[in-house]
Amino acid sequence: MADHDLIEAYLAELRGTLAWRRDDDELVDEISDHLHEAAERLLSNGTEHRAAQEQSLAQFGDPVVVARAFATTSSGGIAMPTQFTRTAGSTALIAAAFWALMALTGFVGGTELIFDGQLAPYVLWAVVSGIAGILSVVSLAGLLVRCGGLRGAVPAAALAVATIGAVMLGITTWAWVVWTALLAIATGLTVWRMHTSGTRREPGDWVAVAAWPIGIAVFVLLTQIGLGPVDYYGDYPVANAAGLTVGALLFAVGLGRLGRWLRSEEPVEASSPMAST
Amino acid sequence: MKGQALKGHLDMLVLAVLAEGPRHGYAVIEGLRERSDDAFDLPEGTVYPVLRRLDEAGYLSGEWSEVGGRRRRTYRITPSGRAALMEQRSMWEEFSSAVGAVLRGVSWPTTT
Repeated sequence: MADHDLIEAYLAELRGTLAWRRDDDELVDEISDHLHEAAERLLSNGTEHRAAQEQSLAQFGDPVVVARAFATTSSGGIAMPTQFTRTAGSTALIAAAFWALMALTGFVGGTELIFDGQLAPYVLWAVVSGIAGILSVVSLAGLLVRCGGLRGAVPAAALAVATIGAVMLGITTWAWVVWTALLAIATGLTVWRMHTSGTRREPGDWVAVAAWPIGIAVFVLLTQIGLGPVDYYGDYPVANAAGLTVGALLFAVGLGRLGRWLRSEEPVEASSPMAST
Repeated sequence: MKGQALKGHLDMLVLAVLAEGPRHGYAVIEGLRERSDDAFDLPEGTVYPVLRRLDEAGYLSGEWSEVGGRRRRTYRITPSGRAALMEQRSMWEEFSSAVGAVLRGVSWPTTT
C-alpha cells in the first residue's frame, strides 16, 4: 500500500463502521480533516511521511473503537445496552425454547405421520409457532435497539417483515415455508445492521439468518426426491417434518446465541449529556 | 492520565476549552493537551463523539467551512453550554473540595 493511502484506508474502514449513522459522511469529513492536519504537523516537525501518517492514526485510535464511541452518541437512537435490550435477551432465550417446541409440535401437528388429520395437535403447533414468532419479533427489536435504535429504513423494514411473518405463522402455520422465510429476511437485516454498526461482528450470528433457508432447502429437496408417503393434500410429510425440524432447531440455536449476548450486558441507562463519556 | 480516568468529565473539559473561543476538533484536543500539560492521554477519536453529543444537546453549535481544500467543522459554545459548564464546574469544585478534606484527614502509609 502506498504511503498516502494509509489515512484513506483508515477512513474507508471507519466509513464502513459508521454507515448506519445518518451523519456518517459529515463525521468522516471531520475526521479526515483531523488526520490530515495531524500528519501535516508531524511532517512539518521533520517526521518522515509514512511515520507521520502511522503516528496520527495511532493517536486517533482503532476505527472500531472510535465507531463504538460514536455508537453511544445519539443519531436517531443510542446504541447501548438498556433494560429493554436485556429483557429482549431473556425473551430471545424463551423464544429459542419455543422454536425447539415448535419443531416437536410441528412433527405431530404439522404432518399426519403420527396423528391422522386431528385438529388438536395442529392447533397446538399453531399456538406454539405464533408465540415463538412474536417472541422473536421482540428479540429482534432488542437487537436493533442495541445497535442504534428503531428509526431508519432498515430497522423499520426488519420489524415490519418480522411482524408479518410472526403473525401469519400463527394464523396459517401450515404455510410455514413462506412465513419463516420472512423471519429469515428480518433476522438477516438485523444481523447486517449489527455488523455494519460495529456493535458486534461474530460470524456465528449468521446461524440465525441461515437457519430457515437451510430448513426450507431441506424441505424442497426431500419433496423433489419424493421421500416417504404422500398425504391427503399431496404433500410429503417427511419432507415437511425434516425441513421444519432443521429450520426451527437451527433458528433456536442462533437466536439463543444472540439472546445470551444481549442478556449478558449490563444495562447503561441513558443520562444527561453531561453525565456520560 | 488515561481516557478511563476522564470518564464522566470529558464533556465538562471540552466545554471548558471551547469557552475560550471557537475551535475545530483537532484544536480542541490540542487545547486539552496544552491545558493539562500533556497529562490527558486519550485516543483522539473519542473526543469527536463528545463534540457530537454536546452539539446535539444544544451545548455547542457547529459550523462547516473549507480550509486547505478540506471540510472543517468548527464548534462554538452556546449560552446553554456556558450555563452547563458553570453548573458542572461548581459541582466539580464542591466534589473536589470534599474529597480533599477527607484525604487530608488520612495519614499516608509509610513505605518500608
